[in-house]
Amino acid sequence: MAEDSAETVLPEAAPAPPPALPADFAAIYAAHSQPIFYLALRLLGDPTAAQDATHDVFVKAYRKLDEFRGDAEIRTWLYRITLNHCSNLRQSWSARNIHTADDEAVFDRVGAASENPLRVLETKELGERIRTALAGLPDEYRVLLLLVADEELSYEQIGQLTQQTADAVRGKLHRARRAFTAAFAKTA
Amino acid sequence: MNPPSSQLRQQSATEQVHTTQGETVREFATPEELLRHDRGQTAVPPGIAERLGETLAAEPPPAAEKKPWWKRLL
Repeated sequence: MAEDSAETVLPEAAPAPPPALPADFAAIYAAHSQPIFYLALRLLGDPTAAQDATHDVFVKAYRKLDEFRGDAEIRTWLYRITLNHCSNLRQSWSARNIHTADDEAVFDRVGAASENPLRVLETKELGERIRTALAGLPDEYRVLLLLVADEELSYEQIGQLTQQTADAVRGKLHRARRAFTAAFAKTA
Repeated sequence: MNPPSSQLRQQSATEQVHTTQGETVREFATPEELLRHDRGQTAVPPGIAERLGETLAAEPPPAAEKKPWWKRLL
């Protein structure tokens, strides 16, 4: 009987602990894994996919560490890898939201009526509301807001990451804020 | 990971917290402040570091400089 044999099996030895990260790389992971995971989570909208993406981003970073010249902040470099990785994933999922200029005009009109501060109840649903609001934005706005939320990045660095000038970042950020505020209000 | 101190300063300067009937209501002046708060509440699953350690254990060390084939001929 299977149950009898199961009873006679000796308890398994505790599994070996997973290998530790190389010391230098462990410091990089400790300093940057949280913002990288959060960016992936909010870009992909799925915790499991974000875990996989974070793993893959740091594997890529480890492999290319000798190519990192130090002419950019390592945070910026990791963000670049993350943005490219998530963009490739989203394209492969055919999950792109394509917005036309007309769509942006709608965001602007709706946003103009939603200038109130963002009020939230401290509930577990906050993450879901944010996910829904971000999912309704054009990719460009979503990326801008997530990058600007990291105070370690300057507008110049965000411009480099998104291939535009710092002034363009400032201009689009205004519209992105209004679009998010309107989209977030709809999730209440 | 804790948010940087500058982040905390920024949040405390602009974030308003009200408690009514046991519910905490927060107000954020901008979406990025809301996102910062959300990021602060989001923990990195520990499984990522474990899986990463297993993956990197099978990788060659990154320090070895890789020369392109044509440079090795010169």
